[in-house]
Amino acid sequence: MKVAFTLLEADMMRFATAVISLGCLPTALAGAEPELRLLNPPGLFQPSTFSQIATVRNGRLVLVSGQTARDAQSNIVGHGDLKAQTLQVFENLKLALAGAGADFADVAKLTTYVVNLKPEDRLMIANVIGNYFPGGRRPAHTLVGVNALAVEGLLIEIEAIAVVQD
Amino acid sequence: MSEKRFINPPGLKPLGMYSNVACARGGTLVFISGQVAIDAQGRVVGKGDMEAQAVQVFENLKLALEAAGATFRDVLKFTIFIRDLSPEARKAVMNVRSRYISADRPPAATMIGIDRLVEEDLLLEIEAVVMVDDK
Repeated sequence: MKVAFTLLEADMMRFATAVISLGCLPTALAGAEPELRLLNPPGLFQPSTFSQIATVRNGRLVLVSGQTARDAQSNIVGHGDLKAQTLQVFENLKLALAGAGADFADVAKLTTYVVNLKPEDRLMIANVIGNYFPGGRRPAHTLVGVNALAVEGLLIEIEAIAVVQD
Repeated sequence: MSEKRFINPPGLKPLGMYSNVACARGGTLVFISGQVAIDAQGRVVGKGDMEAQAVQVFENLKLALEAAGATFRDVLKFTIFIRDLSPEARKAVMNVRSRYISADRPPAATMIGIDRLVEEDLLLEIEAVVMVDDK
């Protein structure tokens, strides 16, 4: 019962994001060289693994659907292994971003959904993020624990917002 | 100067104080990471108290907005994640939110009931998409 609820709400959220972004924003952002800034203002908790704020000026906005640990043949990679699935997700994100002419340096924000989220998962995910975002540049990030993802066996899903040259 | 529009088109009735559609152009987009009830020292504020946590979350959002040169009037969309979502929990969060946002042009919003957050004591997390005028 709770599973169905979570999936429905997740779908609603994606829909809402698409309405805002595809309906309004790309035209607003057309034009000059994109500028991505990542900030951690004083007064807020200072995270080492993400930035509290990402600002994007100009450029073309890229919205990447939530990526899961499924390969090009739709097989789940890393059954029961959150770390293996996380690595596959980042490889998929890399491919998705490349498809839009972007790479990890262009990412403003990630949203991560983890089934049965445990405190130690955060460290593992932060380590993987560290490997894909070199030089201390960390995008804004929201991490939530969910009941289930779209297909049984999937343990993690990550979506991304990036900006590229228009 | 950026331009923002908050729309509730005919046929779509909002269930609370939010806009179904937010449009914006001509400024800098700001993404604020999900804020939780943690203070600058990393301590959880308001254990077991949804309303107290919501106040801390909105105070954190306020700080983040100020750092980006924005106010709550510049927020286009909130995504609100609530642990063990119930009508009481929703009401507590909405009461706090109504003190911070303007009733005449509320941002778009999505609310999601979730399983848990990164720390056991955290009850809600709110992220925001914002547009500010270019400097």
